[in-house]
Amino acid sequence: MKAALFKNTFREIKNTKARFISILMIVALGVGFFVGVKATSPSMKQMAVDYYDESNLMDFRLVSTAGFDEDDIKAVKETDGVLHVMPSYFLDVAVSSKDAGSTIRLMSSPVPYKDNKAISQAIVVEGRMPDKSGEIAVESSGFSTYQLGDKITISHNVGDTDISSSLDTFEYTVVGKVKSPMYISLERGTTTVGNGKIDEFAYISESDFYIERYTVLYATLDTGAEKVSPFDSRYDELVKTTTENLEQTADLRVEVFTGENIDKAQKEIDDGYKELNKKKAEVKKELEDAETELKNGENEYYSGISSAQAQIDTAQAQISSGREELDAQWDEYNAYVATFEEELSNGKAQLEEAQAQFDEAYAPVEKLKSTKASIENEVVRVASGTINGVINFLPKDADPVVAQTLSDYASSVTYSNAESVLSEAKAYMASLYYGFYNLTFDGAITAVRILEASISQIDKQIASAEEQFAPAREELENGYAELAQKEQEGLDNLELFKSELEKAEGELSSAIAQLESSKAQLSIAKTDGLNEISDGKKEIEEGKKKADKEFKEAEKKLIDAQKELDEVAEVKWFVFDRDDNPGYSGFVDNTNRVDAVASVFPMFFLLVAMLVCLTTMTRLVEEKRTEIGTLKALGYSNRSITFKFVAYACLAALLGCVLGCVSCVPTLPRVIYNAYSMLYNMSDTIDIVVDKTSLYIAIVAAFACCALVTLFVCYKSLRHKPASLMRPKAPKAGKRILLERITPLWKHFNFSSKVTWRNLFRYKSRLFMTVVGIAGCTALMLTAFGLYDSINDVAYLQFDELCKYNTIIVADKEKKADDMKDLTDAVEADKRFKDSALVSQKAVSVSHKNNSVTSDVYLMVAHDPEDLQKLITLRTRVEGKGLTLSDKGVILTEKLADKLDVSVGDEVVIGENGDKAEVTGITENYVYNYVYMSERAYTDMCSKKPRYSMIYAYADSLDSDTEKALGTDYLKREDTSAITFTTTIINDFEDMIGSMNIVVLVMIISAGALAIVVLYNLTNINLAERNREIATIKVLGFNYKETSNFVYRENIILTLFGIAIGLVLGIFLWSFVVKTVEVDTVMFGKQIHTLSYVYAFALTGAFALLVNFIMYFRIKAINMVESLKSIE
Amino acid sequence: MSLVEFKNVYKQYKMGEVTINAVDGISFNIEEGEFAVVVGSSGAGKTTVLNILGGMDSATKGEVLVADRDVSKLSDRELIDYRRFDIGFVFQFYNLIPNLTARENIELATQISKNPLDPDTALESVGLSERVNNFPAQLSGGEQQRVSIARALAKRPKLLLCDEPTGALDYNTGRAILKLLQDTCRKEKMTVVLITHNQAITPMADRVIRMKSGKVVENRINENPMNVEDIEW
Repeated sequence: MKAALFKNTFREIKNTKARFISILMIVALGVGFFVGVKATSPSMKQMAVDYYDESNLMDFRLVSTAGFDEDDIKAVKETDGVLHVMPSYFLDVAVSSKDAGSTIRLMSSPVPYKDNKAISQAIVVEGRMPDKSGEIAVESSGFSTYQLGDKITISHNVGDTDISSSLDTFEYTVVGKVKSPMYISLERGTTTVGNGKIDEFAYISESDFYIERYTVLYATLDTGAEKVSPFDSRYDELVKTTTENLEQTADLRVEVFTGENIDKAQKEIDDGYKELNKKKAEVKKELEDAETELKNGENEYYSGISSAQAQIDTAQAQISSGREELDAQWDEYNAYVATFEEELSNGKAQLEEAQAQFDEAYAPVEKLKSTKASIENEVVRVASGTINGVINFLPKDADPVVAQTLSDYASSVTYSNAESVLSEAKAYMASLYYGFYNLTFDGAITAVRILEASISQIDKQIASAEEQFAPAREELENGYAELAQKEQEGLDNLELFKSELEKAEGELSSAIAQLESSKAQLSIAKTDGLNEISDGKKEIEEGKKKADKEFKEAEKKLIDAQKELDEVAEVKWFVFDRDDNPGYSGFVDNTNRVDAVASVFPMFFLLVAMLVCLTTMTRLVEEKRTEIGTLKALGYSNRSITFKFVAYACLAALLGCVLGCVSCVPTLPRVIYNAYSMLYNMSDTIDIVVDKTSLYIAIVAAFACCALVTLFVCYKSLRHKPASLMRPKAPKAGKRILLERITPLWKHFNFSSKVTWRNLFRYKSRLFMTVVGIAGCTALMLTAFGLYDSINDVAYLQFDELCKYNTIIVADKEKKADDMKDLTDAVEADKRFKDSALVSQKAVSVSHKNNSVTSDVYLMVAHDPEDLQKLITLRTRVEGKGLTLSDKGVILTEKLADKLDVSVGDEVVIGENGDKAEVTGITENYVYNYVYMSERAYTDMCSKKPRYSMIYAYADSLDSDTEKALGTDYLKREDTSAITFTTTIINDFEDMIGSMNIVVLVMIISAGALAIVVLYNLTNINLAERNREIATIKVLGFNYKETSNFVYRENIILTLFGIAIGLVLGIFLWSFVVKTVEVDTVMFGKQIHTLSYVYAFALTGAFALLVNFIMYFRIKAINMVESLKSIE
Repeated sequence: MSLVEFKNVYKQYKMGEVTINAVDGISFNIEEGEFAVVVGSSGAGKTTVLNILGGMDSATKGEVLVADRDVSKLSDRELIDYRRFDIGFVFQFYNLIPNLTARENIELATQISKNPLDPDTALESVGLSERVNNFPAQLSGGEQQRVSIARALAKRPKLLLCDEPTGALDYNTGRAILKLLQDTCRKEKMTVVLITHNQAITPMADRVIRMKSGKVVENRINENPMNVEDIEW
C-alpha cells in the first residue's frame, strides 16, 4: 500500500463527506440499535442475578400439610444438592384497620437458622426490619399505603377461619418498608382465604407467630464451586435433580410422621367410639326408668280424680234434699203471715166503727170549743187594733220611738195578756201625752173584759160535756191499746220464724259454695295432673333428643377427627422452585420478549444499511472510473486499487460501529428497562451487559456488507481494461418499460409522467432501496403509533367502554345473597348510584378440559346477570356482538380463551374441585382475565349457592368530593369493609403503561433517523448521477420548479409506494410486536387507529419533503457550465 | 440593427490574488440570419463567450445585447426565460437525456416553448423521421447530434448556439452536421453562432470572429460563404 493511496483515500473522504457520513450514520443506526436492544435482555438478566444473589433468593420452597419440625429441617438440610435451609412461618391474614379487607401475607422476618445463611432476605428500602414483637415491615411497592409509624390491626378471622391462636399480637407498628426477591413483579399470588388474592406481603418478627410447627421451609441450591446463573439450563438441571432428591426426603419424612402421630391419634379415636357406645347404653337405661315412673304417676292420678268426683256427687245430693225441706218451711211461714194479717185488719175495723160512733156524739162539744177560739181571736184583734189606731193618730211631730214602742205592744198582744198590755200602753202614753189617749185605751179594755166573760161561760158548758163523754172515751182508748199489743206479738212471732228460715238458707248456700269450690279444685287438679304428665313425657322426649344430639355431635367429632386424621394421614410435602414465585418466570419471559423484538427491528436497519452502502459505493466507484483506469495503467495491482475503496467503506463502518455502540448501548437498555421497571420491583438501575455475540454479529455484518459490497462494485470495474476505464462509461441506456406496451394507457400519460415512469425503472437498485427504506421507516412508525394505540386503548376500552362501573363496595365477609340484602338495598336506594350489581369475585385457576395449560383468573358470579351487564359490557371484539350471561355455561375473556386455546362450545375446568362448564361466549376484555357466569349456572355447576362479597356500582359524576362522601358513608356501615373507586385503578394502570410510551418514542425517533438518512443518501446519489441531465434541462430553460419536479416526481412516487408497502408491512410488524410484548394479564388493543396510519404516512412524507427541500438548493446550485463542460 | 452585440465584455475569474480575464474586453456584433463562426484555439475564451451569450454564464463587465436586451443585466429568473424562449443549444456531447427516445428528447424542449415545432417535423427536418422512437444509445453519434439540433430548433429560438458540434464526430458525419446547420440557417433564416477550433470551417460562415487569449482579433464578414460540400479539411 503506497502512501499516495492513503492520502488519496483520506482526500476522497474529505471530498465526499456527505456520502461518507451517510454510510457511517446508517451503520451507526443499525449497529447501535441492534446491539443496544440486544444488550437489554442480558443486562436485565444480570441485574436479576445480582439481585437474587444479594438477597440469597431461595431455590426451593417446601410446604407441608402438617408443617415441619427440627428433624424435617435436618433431613432437608442433609439432602443432596441443598446448601442452606431456613424454616419460617407465613400466614395470610385480613386487615381490620385502615385498608380493611385487604389480605396480607405475613412472613417471618428471615433470620439465619443455626449455621445456615438467611434465605430470601428482604431488602430494606426505608426504616428497618422488625426485630421485636408488634413490629411490621410492609412492602415498598405501590400496593402498600402504609407509612412508617402507621398502625396495622389484624383481624382475628380470615373468612371463616379463626386465627386468633396463630399470632401473638394483632396490633403492629410499621417500622420499615422493604422489597422481597420473592415478589419481583406486581403479582402477589393467590391464597385459600379471603377473596383468594393476596394484596400485599409484610414481614413480622418470628416470635409473633404462635404456630407449633414451621409452615414453610426455604432451601438454596448447592451448585458446588461453580457459579450457575439461574437463567442457565445447567441451573434447571440441578434444580430438577435436587427437586427429585427433596421429594425422596419428603416421602421418608412423611412416613416417619405418620408412624409417630397418626397411629396414636387413630387409637384415641377408637377409644372415643368405645366410650361413646358405653355412654349411649347408660343413657338409654336412665330414660327407660323415667318412663316407668311416669306411667305409675299417671295411674295414681286417674284413681285420685275419680274418688274426688264421688265425694262431690254425695254433697250435691245432700244439698238438693236440704233445699226441698227449706222450701216447705218457707211455705208454712207464708201461711202464718196471711192469717195474722187478716185477724189484725178485722180488729182494726171494729175499733174504727166505735170511734165513728163516739165522734158523732162528741161533735157539739167541738163546736163550743171553736166558738171559744173565735172569741179569743176577737179579744186579740180589739187590743192590737186599738193600739195600732193610736199609732195612726199620733201627732206629726211625735218621737218615732213612741210609734215603735206602741207597735211592739201591739204585736205582743195575746188572749190572756190583752188587758194588761192595753193597760201598760195606756200608762206609757199617759206618761207622754198626759192622758190624751186614755179614753181610747179604756174603751178597748172594757170591750176585752166583756168578751172574757162570755168565754168563761162557754168554758163551763164544755167542762160538763166532757164529764159525760169520759167513760166512752176510756173504753175506746183501751180497745186501741189491746189491738196494738196483739199486733206486736204477732209480728214478733213472725220475725222469729223468718230468722230461723234465713239461717237455714245461709247454711245451705254455704254448703253449695263449698261444693263449687271443691268442684273447681278438682278440675284444677285434673289439668295440673295432665300437665304434669305431659311435662314428664316431654321431658323424657327432650332427654332423648338431647342425648341423641349429644351422641351425634360426639360421633361427628369423632368422624371429623377421623377425616382430619385421614387427611393428615395423607401428609403431603410440596416442593416448589423459583418458577412458583409470582412473576418470576414472567420476568424471564419479558427479557426474552425484548430479545425477540430486538432481533426483528435491526434487520431493517441492517438491510437498509447494506443498500445504502451498495448504492453509495457503486456511485463512488463509478465516479472514480477514470482514476481506477489511470491507477491500473500506472501499474497498481487490483488489490491496491480495491483497497482504497474498501478502506473508505470500512472506515465508515468502523466509525459507524463505534458511534452506534457508544450512543445506543448505554442508553437503550436503560430506556427499555425503565419501561419494564414499572412492572417489577427490583433494582432501580441496571449495569449494561453487552451481548458479545450480537455485538460481533453486528460488527461483522456492518463490515461485511460495506466491504463486500465495495469489493463487488470494484470487481465489476476492475474487470475492464485500463483503456476502456479511462473512456467515459456510456450512460445507462434508456429502455422501454413494460408500461409502454400497454399503448392506450401510455398514450394518456403526459410527457413528464412518461419520463418519470421510465426513470423509475431505470435505476432498479435505487428504486428497491428507496422503497425498502421508506417502507421500513413507515412500518416502524406505524408499529410505534400502533403500539401506542394498543397500549392506550387498553385503558380507554377497558375502563370506559367495557367496565362501566366506577365504584366497588366490599362487604365485611362473604355472604349469601339474602344476607346482603341490607347493603344492596342501601346501594339501590342511594341516589348517587345509577346502577349496581351484586357479584362474587374469586380467584380460581381454570384450564381446558383436555389441555394442561392452566391460568389464574377471577371467577365472577353475577347475582342478577342483567344488573351486571349494565356495568360490564360483554361482547365479541371483532363483530361487537353483545353476549348474554345465560343460565348455563360461562363467558371467558378473550385473552384467557386464547391462552387456554378454547372456543365457544368447549368445556373448561374451573377451580380445585374440577367443576366443568361449557363456554358459551368469549368477550372482549383487556385487563386481567375473568370467567363470568350467572348465579344459576354457578349453582348448577357446584351444586351450592355462591357467596357474595362485592357490589359493583356506577355513580354519576364521580369526583373526588363524591368519592370522599361515599367513602365515609359506606365505611360507617358495619357490613361494609371497603369501598374502592376505579379512578385509582385507572391512574395506576395509566402510570404503568405510560412508561411503554418511551419505547414508542424511541422507535419513532429511530424510524425518523432511518428515513432521513436513507432519503438523503438516495437523493444525493440521484443528483450526482443525473447531474448532467439536470444541467441539460436547465440549459433548455426549465425553471427551478420544473427542474426539481423532474427529479422529485419519481422520488414522490417512490415515497408514496414505499409508504403504502410500509403501511402493510407495519400491520404485520405491529401485530408481531404486540404479541411479543404483551403480558399475561393484559391484552393490548387489537386495532391501529386511522389517525396512526395518517401519522405514519404524514411523518414519513414530512421527512421525505424535508430531504427534498434540502435538495432543492442543491439542484439550484448545479452549475450548467461546469456540468456540461466535458465528460471526465 | 444587429441581433447580437457585445460591447466591451469582460469575464474575470479571481484565483487568489491573480485575476484572470477569460474574456478580455471584447466587442463584436452579429446580424440576424447570419451564420457566425467563433474560432480560436483552446482557452481562447470562445466557450465563455458562448456561455455568456446563451445565458448560462454572466459577464463580469460590459453589455451583451441580444435583440436590444442586455442579457448581462438579467436576473436568474429572466435568464431562465431567455434560455427557454430565445436560445437553442447544440453541444459537443449532444447531452440527450438517455432515458428518453429521440422524439421525447425533443418533446422535452417543446413542452416548455411558446410556439414550438411539431417534434416529428423537427426530426424530419434533420432527416431522422425513421428513428423517432429510438433511445440515444441506439443512435450513432451523428444521429444523436441531429436529434440534439432538432431539439434546439424545435423551440424556434432566436439564436442557435453550437459548441463544437462536430468535435466528437468523424469527418463525414461532421460535414453532414455542418451542412444541416448551414441549410437550416439559410432556409429558416436562423441566426447560428458556432464555435470551433477548426479553422477549416470558416469559409462556410457568413461572419468569422477569431479569438485569441480572450480577445477578438478579427471580425470579418465573408462575402462569399461556401457551401459545406465544397470545403475540404
